Amino acid sequence: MAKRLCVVLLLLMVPQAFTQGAAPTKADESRILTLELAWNHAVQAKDAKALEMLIAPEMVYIEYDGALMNGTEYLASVASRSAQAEQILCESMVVHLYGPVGVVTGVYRETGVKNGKPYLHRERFTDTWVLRAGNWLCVASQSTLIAR
Amino acid sequence: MKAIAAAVGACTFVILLMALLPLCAQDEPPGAEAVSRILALENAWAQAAESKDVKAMDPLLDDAFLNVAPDGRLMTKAEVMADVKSASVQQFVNEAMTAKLHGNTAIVTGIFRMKGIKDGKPYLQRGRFVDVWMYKNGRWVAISSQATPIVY
Repeated sequence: MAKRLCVVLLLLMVPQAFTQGAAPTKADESRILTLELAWNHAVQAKDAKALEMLIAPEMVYIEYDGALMNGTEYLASVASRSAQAEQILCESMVVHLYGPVGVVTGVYRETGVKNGKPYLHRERFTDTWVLRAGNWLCVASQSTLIAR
Repeated sequence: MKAIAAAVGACTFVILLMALLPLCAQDEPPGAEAVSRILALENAWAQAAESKDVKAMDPLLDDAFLNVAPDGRLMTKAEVMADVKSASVQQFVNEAMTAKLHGNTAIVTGIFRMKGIKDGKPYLQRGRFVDVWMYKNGRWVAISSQATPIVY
């Protein structure tokens, strides 16, 4: 009887483990950080096609001035940027994994030239990534300006 | 013997029920009900901020909750709670909220409007926010939040 009870309890625990997703790994963390770097390269190169592979179609993006964009609008804004980024760096990035969800916080630093004038932006960002069909895709990204 | 069998049967039933309850509780997303519940939690959060009710706010935020304030400060749950207690907010209202479900995670976007007094002067702040909610242990908790002042 006791053996049967143990088996029943184990069987009941297995689906629970599946519903909570596989345990996050260091590899997931590295993968997401690599995708963040790829994102920076794509923005610098105004490469909307490369960016499209990183974001979910329903992504929401909030620019540092508070403007809200969907995925399509964000891609169009990157492709048509008037600013020419010379250097994009991310500092203090931390990935917080919750099973198939990753929340990245960090500081984005961009220098470049816009309308003939040099600029420097420093922004605190939060990106939310979701594991979908084996790929990490960004579903939300937001930036807030911070002191230089 | 019958009494022992009945007791074992009753125990088995209770154990099975206890084991099944978390499974049922994990079932909520996706659906319109989940979205309504999350938006209601957002309003409860705003209400708690307005009334400085950190006890009401506590169960809404995951222990590992992270917040990026409108001035760009990165804050932990404890720091947010301390901030709420000491702030002089008179009104905190959410507008234009939408929630999108991604499995057991929800992304809420919206606009907050906050009125208060700082350094003896009244202020009004309007910002765009994204809150990330996760369904954990049978309830929705916010795992991150960021606010950006609207200046465009």
